[in-house]
Amino acid sequence: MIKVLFAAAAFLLSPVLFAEEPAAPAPTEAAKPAEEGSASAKAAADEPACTECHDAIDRPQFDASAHGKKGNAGCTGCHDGVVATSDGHDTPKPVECSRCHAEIAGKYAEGLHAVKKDGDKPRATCSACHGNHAIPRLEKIQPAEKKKAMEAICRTCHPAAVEAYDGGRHGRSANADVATCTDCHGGHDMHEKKDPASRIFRLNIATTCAACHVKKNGTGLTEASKKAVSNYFGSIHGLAMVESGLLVSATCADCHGAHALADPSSPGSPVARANVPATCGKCHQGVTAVYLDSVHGRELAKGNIDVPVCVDCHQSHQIRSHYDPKSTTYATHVSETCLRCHADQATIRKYEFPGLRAETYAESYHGAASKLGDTAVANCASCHSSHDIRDPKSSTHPDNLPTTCGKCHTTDDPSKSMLTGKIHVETARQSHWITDVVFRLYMVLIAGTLGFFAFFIAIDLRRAWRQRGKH
Amino acid sequence: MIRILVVDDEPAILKGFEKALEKHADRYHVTSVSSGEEAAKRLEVDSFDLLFTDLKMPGMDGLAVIEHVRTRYPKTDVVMMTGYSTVESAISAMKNGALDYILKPFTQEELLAIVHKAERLRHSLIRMAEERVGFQRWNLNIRVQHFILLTTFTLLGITGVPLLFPETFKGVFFFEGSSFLRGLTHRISAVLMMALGFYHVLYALSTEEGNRNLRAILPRPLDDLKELMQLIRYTLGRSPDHPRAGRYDVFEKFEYFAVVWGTIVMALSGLILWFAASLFHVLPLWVIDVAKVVHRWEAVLAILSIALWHTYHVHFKPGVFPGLSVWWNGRVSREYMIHHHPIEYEELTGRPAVLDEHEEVAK
Repeated sequence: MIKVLFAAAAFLLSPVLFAEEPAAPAPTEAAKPAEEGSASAKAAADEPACTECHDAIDRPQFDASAHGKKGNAGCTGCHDGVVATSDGHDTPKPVECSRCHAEIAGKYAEGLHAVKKDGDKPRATCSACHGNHAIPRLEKIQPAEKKKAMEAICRTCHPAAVEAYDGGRHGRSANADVATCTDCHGGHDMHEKKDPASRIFRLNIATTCAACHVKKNGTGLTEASKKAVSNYFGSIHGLAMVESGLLVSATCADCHGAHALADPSSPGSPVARANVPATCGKCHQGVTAVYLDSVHGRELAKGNIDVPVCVDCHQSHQIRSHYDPKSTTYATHVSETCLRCHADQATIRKYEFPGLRAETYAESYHGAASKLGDTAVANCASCHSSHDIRDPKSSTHPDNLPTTCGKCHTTDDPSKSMLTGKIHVETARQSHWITDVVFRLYMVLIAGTLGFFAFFIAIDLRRAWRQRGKH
Repeated sequence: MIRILVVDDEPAILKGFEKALEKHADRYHVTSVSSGEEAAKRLEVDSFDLLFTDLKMPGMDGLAVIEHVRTRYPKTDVVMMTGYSTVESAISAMKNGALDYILKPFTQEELLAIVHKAERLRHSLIRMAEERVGFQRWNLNIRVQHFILLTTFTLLGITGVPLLFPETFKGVFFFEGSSFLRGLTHRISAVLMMALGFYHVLYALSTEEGNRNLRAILPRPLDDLKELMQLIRYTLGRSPDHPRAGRYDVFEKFEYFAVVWGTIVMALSGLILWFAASLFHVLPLWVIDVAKVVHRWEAVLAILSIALWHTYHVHFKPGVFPGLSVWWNGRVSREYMIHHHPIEYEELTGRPAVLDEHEEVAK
């Protein structure tokens, strides 16, 4: 016992002794033997005393652990208050990590794992996660193994979550920097998700994701995935959440899932094209139902993923209100949005769309004024509607045209309207033969008039040139 | 025809005068009176180009006649007739504005020479005045009409053309609400132009001046066609003679009726498009399509015509460059008048529309 105390005293004093040494030319050289001597003396002194009886403890493993390291406590550093009795020693005081790790312990005490359940036991103690005699030295854990180590720890109590994580985008990533449990949930300062202090409190989720997806550079993230999160903050969802504190607004995990988050390319992903309406429909139920009954929605139900889903028109991370001039669904941008497919030659051929929709709309007053920024004129959606584009119950069916046009061009009695005729007029002939004749007359008139003008000006200039100097 | 008034209290002089110019009755019309008072009375009734007066007369003498004519009839030139004894007075008379003097007694030849001299002097004075002032072709009323037409036409063009090339002009109307402003400006300009059109019809039909101009500009198809053909022959160098036009030449007539036609067509098609919203409940859709075709292509025709044709004739045509000032001060030069409107020039001045030799050379 005396030996133990001596060793401990020598060990504790050693840093003090070193510290007192002046900055000699090679203090480390001088210190090394003394240090090693001290450590080995301690080990030699400890071993017979504790592990003689506590032989279940793997002494070399302890020595290799964080606490077995030089300068750290031996057995009694944690198991304080060992008082010798005739038949051995008293029950030592309970281990209190906070004696050395006060700061961490403070965080832990405020965190979720320190909350007591079923009487007075905390949900998880220090050793529940860190272990006891074999706490690994942090610097010895290879970066690639960190994720595994973390999973192993959390799996003990949260097997389902870890399993989901394993199958998800983060879990399957080989990237050493990929987010693990504590990156999102926090470590010692972990809080319940309903606690505003939690990293996964709804208001904080985007910021938590941004910690990697916006701020970290060179960690193997694609530019798109970095942009996604910063775009989100400017979107209607992001602004509602972050600026207005509207908790029901969508945040990252609502669409992507949390532990099991998956790429759009994997079929089961909530953000895979086929699943997008269902994902958006979690919140936007009414409009999703309308969409699913539209030409686009019905095709999607047949498994055709060429059709636009919500994000094709509204965008995903950059989604904005259709009153926002930057939105893809803003009145003057709607035509561009629709025409991405409806003016695409491959798509037009594949689905035999009526052609020249872009051109005929652009030619019309609606199209030209819209391009110049007039929000009052009709865009595609004004006539064809948006979520409930239908066939044959279409708003542009001849029977429905008076009502559809009447939305803007009001009349008392739509049934008496003369509004018949072709809207997307490709050639003047399609309008009426008179339109065609008038058009041709004008072409002749313009060509003839301007032709004569050009002729006369040319000969007049020639005359002036020839008569220069004389008269 | 030069109208001459002779004033002398000696009947012999008057007789000699009349006799001297008798042979040239086709060029000179002589009226003689025997006193200053009589001359003043005669001047109230008739106008004269030249006045010969004796210096010494009972009652109103020669100097008083000069003063009377100078203040009331500035267009009439005075030549003094005097004897040796009064040369000093003759000189003072010239200082007071007489054109020349002739010593009595004079022979026929001397008289003719002095008449010719006075005639030349008078002619060059008139020419100098014409050169300095030019001809008032447009009064303020017409200039204001032209200015309103020019302004509304430009505004209609600026606010209309972007609709023809929306892709090119995207972002030109960039501030919020500017598309509304575009439409509003277009409609206000259109209403102003239509109002001008109505006013112009009233002006042409109900004012004397408008009526005169309207009669002058009405097409005379055969004459106009002849004038056009002659102009083309002249321009091609196949004929040395520029066609002789009156107040309006064939191109001015053409442009005027192009504006009349364009305004009516644009106003009608524009009104259909303006009220398309209400109209297509009563009109079939293709009528609106026709209105659109007309409004669009008539605009293209009008803008290109102004840009090419009108701009050429009023700005870039050699001899006209850098531009006529008629739209601003209403005046055109003597040369322009003689060259483009010789018949009108002759009607206005009573003199042949020819440029003097030195003017031709200077040109």
